[in-house]
Amino acid sequence: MSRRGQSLVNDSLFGFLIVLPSVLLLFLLVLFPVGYVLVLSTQDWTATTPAFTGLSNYVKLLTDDPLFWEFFMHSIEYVVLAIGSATIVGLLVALSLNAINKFQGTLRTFALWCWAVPPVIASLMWKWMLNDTSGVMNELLLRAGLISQPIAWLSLPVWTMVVLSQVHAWTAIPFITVILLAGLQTVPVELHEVAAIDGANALQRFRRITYPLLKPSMLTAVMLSVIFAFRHIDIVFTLTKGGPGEATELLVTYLYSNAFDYLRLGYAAALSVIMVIVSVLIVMLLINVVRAERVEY
Amino acid sequence: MRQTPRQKIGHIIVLVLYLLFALFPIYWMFITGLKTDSEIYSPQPTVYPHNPTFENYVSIYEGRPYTQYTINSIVISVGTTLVCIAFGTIAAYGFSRFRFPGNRTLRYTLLVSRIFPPISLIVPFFLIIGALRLYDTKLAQIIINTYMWLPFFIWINIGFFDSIPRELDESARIDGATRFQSFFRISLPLAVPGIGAASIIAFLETWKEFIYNLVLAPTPNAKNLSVGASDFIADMFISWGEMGAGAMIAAIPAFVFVIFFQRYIVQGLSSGAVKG
Amino acid sequence: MGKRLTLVVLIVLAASMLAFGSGQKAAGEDGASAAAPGQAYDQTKVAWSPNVDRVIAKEYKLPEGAEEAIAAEGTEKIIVYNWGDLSWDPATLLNGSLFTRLTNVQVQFVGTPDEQMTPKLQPLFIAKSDAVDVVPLDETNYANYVHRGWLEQVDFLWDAETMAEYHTGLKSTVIDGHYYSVPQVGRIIDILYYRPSMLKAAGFDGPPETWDELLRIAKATTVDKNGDGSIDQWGFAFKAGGVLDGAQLIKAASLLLGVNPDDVNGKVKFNTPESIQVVQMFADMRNRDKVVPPGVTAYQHGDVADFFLSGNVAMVIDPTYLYARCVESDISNDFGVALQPAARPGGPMTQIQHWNGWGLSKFSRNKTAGLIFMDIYRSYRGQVNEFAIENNEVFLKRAYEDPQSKLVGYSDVLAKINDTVVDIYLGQGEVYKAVIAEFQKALVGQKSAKEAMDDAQTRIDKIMKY
Repeated sequence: MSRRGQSLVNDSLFGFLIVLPSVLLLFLLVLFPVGYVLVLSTQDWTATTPAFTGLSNYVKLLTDDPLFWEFFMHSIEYVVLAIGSATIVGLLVALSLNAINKFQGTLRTFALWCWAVPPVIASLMWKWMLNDTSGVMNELLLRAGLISQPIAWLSLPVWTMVVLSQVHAWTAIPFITVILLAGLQTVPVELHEVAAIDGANALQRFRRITYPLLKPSMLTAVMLSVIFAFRHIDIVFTLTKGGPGEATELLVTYLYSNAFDYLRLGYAAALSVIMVIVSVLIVMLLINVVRAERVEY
Repeated sequence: MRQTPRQKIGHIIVLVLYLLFALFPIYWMFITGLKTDSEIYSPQPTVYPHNPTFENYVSIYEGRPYTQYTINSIVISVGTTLVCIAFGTIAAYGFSRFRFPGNRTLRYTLLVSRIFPPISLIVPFFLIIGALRLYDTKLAQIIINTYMWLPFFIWINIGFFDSIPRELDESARIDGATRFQSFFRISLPLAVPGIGAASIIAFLETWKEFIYNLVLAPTPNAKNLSVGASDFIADMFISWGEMGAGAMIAAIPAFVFVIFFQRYIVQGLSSGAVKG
Repeated sequence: MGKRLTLVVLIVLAASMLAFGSGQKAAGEDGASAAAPGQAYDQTKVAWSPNVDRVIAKEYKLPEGAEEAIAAEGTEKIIVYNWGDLSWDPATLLNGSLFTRLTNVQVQFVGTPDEQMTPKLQPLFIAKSDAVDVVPLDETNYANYVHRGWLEQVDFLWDAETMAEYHTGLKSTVIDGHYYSVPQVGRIIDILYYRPSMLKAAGFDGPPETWDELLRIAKATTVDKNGDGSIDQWGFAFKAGGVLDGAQLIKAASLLLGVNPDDVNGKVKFNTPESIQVVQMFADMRNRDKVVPPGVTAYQHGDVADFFLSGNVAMVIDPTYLYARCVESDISNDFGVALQPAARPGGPMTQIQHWNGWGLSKFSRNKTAGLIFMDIYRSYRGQVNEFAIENNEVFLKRAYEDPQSKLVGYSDVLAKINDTVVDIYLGQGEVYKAVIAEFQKALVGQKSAKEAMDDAQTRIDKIMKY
């Protein structure tokens, strides 16, 4: 680029050029894998040599595979339960952190620690804690008199999904808390004080003032967490591997089985493309909701 | 806003309950690593180690190349972070400050690349790394982790640059500075908090990376602590004591970072997301 | 914005597919230039035959021509993947050093937990990479790998005389008339472990020998010791989860009723009356008799072993690997082993022999060295090491007669076993998964035993394309 006062390159081009290295780097890294998966999804890998088979994998997945829809529902349950409760808890914690002035730094540190643990390790620890005979969870609840029999946390047909989703929530809450906390700090205190003088109580103030201003950050936090939860495999894989029965089998574990257990790579590739499409739809949906709900003061 | 005593107590209860929930597994990890095998398998789990011992920590360092894993983790994480800073900072500046066709489009496309489930991209990444002859190297890990976190890094810093007033740039230009000079002297110093925060996130997330390290780094040449902690899954059972010790070692650097940089982390996440 | 985005997406898609196409070509060229690893191995360079003498010799000797062939391939080390971490596989390490002593070739072991094995190996195979020489095999992956053409054919390592030295179950590793592996270990899935003190306290002198006795003892040893209303000592436990465990549980019990679900007139059939009876029995143990903890539904991989070691259960049926752990634990003075109980007095005692083997990667550049490693492993010294040191059952029959082997604490239990089956077939992993899923539904009461196994069979029929 020119060092003289005059430029050979106008601003627009300059901007484009300086983002180019990163964009190129990422595109190059992304192009081949994405292309590979797309081509793979058109192949049939059940024979000894892969054969081209067009879109039949997609058709099969969507029309001839009851497991796909069953596990799709499970994935949705998992995500809704995990991010639903993570958002509620995250909101409560953020509100509390915001209200308390002392030790904010220390409390934030502690709240963020669980986010710093590698997910596979965290899952293993939870698995050990939830073990029905040697696990500390049952031990504590028994000692506290809250339950009379040890609970088989990872074997109950209906509740196992709830348990799994809450373990995921454990990993997701810090992220959401932090975003909401920052969002809360952008709410002008004066609005609260004026409303309080006008006689509004805490709940009303929250609904009318805090919540609307918080919505953009809440939606973004939720969107990112949802996408991540939808494709997260570590927790399910470590804790239940999809059991009991197939009660906790998710699309992402189905993807894993097809790719690595049955070596049906074409089918698995098609499944991953479908998962990407679903995620993109969710992103677009949420972005549009944010746009529609922007609040101005 | 002043809080009534009742509200204050309510907040404290919420925080205490949450911290118990959040920290207990970490506490458990910690004490399991300090327990003897016989205590781990005793009929009733103990809530604190009755005979604390460091034998698990010793045995994992003796039996395994944990020092090598630690070095690998540090090299990979630092390497990735540096690449992100080198490429991402100026790219974010470009996205934020300059209008060019495709600006918005490219921003979103960058994020889309992250939506693929990592396991479905294992084989193609393996082929790339193999073709580059970088199998089982730390460089390969740096490349892959850059792919994972550069988009996010750029996204966060776009937000930060957006919040720096353009007038500062413009007045620098009027004074005769080139665009680069304006970037390096004016905008960059002001964006340091954002860069710092994004760097910490890239560092930590790379530190935690599991599946790509698992597949592309089978030997201690490039294996990281995250995967190393799963060494304790033997053929037929899990050595919980050693796992606890290994897990703590894998997590402690992350904890240390959180302690020192949690201020920056808060800024990083929130600005990227809120402006999003 | 929308139009532009679409345009970008289309360009990216097109470019991706182009990139992929050219990438494939590059990979192909790469493979071709790498000393043609995909070509068949030329076994005439080494005097493999006659195999049997070498295999049964007390001290292993390299076959003629091996050293030269290894040198010709320029091998300095071989890479061998192993099930699980090697600190628990001293025999594997010992066999590795024996190999190195004889050939001057280093062995680099890569210890990998079970569920990580295929994600790690598969990319290597698909890329035709030479980064692995010898791979570990079991029922879940063997047939798949052979089907894909990833393993080197090793017919020259076997013949009728050599096969006769091994347990008959090994025949199942022959696929379409060809050999692709050597045995590493066989684990006999089921021996009974029990706590004499608990049985005595309930009035029993010895372990159960039939299912009726098992149930009676289990009921008597399921107690609430401290009267707080919750059971702290269970009578029995089993594994209904995992990747293989639940299905093999049903298979093992069915075998004791005279039926092999993996081979009912040549087909896989898990809804025979015997198998349904078995599923019902386990469901009853959990729900009606309540002699097993409810969590058995998800137990896998060492959960039952951990449970036994923690002293909370009177009896379990688990592989022989648990023995060594018991000996080193707090209950070392208070545990016993026995053959697992028969279904009825004098009933069949057929046992599953779980198979682990070694295979040679088609794309290895060190094939002779890899083959020697495998050969040592399946020979006398290699097999004795496995049994004597790690207490893993082996397929070579005469390995049990070695003085070292006789020292193993449960060798007399094993000596009583005559009849074993090994079943390996394509789709086995998927079949077992379906069986386990349905089994678990029956266990938690969602379906009756018959419904569950009939549903499993429907899925099996689809998987096996019956």
